[in-house]
Amino acid sequence: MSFPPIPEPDAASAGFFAALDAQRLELRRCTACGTVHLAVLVCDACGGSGFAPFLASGAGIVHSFTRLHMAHHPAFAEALPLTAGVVELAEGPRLFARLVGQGPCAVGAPVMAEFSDCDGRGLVVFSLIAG
Amino acid sequence: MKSSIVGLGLAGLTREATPPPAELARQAVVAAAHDAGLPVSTIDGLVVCRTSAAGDSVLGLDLQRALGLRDLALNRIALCEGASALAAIQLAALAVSAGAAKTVACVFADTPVIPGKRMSASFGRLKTGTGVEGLRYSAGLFGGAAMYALSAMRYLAVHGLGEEVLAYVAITTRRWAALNPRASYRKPLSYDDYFAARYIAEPLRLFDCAAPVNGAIAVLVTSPERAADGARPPVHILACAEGHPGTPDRRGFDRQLDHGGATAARALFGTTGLAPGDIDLCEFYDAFSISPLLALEAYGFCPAGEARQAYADGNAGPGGRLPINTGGGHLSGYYLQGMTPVAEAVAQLRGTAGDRQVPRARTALVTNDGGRFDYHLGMLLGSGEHVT
Ligand SMILES: [Zn+2]
Repeated sequence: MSFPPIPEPDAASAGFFAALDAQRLELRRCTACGTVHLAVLVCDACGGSGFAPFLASGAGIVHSFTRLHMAHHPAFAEALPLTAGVVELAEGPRLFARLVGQGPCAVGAPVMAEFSDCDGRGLVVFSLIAG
Repeated sequence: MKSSIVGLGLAGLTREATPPPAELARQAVVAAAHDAGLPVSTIDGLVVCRTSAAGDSVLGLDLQRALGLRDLALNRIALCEGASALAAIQLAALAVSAGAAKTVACVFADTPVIPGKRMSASFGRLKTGTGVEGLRYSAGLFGGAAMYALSAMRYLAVHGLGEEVLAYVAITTRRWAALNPRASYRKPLSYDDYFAARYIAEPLRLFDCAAPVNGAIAVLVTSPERAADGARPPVHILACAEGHPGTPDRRGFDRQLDHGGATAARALFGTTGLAPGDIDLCEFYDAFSISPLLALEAYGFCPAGEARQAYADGNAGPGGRLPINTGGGHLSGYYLQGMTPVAEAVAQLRGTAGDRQVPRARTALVTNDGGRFDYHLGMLLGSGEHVT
């Protein structure tokens, strides 16, 4: 079984990936201005550096996407064409993710987070909601 | 900026096996000096552009020794991803105009093409990445095409456009390439040919992606006074500017479409007093067909979503009112990152572009993109008719 590559956490994303490894999608709200971020050390909206983590609903929309017709990694070899893109979470932040499921894929299409375990590391993909 | 390009040197530009980048770079610098009618020993500054896209190429400060250059006043590596070429030329221009160096060579070299191997062996290499940016690899988004596809897909969706918009760019750029003996792909590309080609990353097909080559390009930058005595008509650096948007990736912003050219354009047109209507030709970085469309809009040649008109009505092609990527660009010409548009602008402004020469080419806009549209430099170049 080949798993997709999961990034190493950096200082900004340590909390995000610790939560993801526990199958949770965690966001952080700037305690000064309320802007919601995925993983930052400084709030670009106000310069604040205090954040309160909270769990995302898992709901979002497709911000953009592509279908890849060549696999660059064995984990995706059986999934061609591979649909992946940028998901805009209901809370505002966006992240790169694979898009799965039977629903139609289009910019603006609704999606919902699904978690899996990759040898101890967490992975989130987003399922396209049918009809 | 009180500086001028007086020499242009090319080496390689082939899909065959070549010497390593350091040797190609040496050859290109020697060719640029020869082109300028100057001995190599005239060079007192060196700025090397290093690429991170194609990986293992090693090109460094010791190019000085390979060239036998003594007592350089400037020796530097310029690193700005795909925009490294203009970053290098800007540094050279600043050094020359400040009197820190007299004649500076800027060079880019890369050897991504491995004969018999697919390009993904060089440009789609496996990475794991760090932090949330590394999630692109978890999603399978390896290589430049996947990322530019996200911009292209969103561009088409936001403006309600179809894939034929990208086809116009690829087909028009091929028409220019047909006139350039240096171009990689010169056979006419029909609408049907375009759509018959396989997808690489939807909506990008084969002909929406650059034509990589092994090669090197060097330019020599010196003062306008020294340039006036050169072997070639001087090409003046009228202005150079950067723009790096750093757009947040959350609702209310659009990282897929934000383009550093908007910031660079304000500076370029502001410092020169020129406007988009004064530009005779554009040499845009076009590693993918979506790039010139976004550049036209970022630089104010047309409103957002309307760049296709420049291609659809023929103005971007040979004989048009706003010629774009007149050597075939990256798409059909050759992909040597930021140096490709520079080399073509120099040829056009010298009036040595042969069958593809744009009549009365006096002012050119040259752009470089790095990391999609995140790291951007723009430069205005002028022929000898410009007073500097
Ligand atoms: Zn804040």
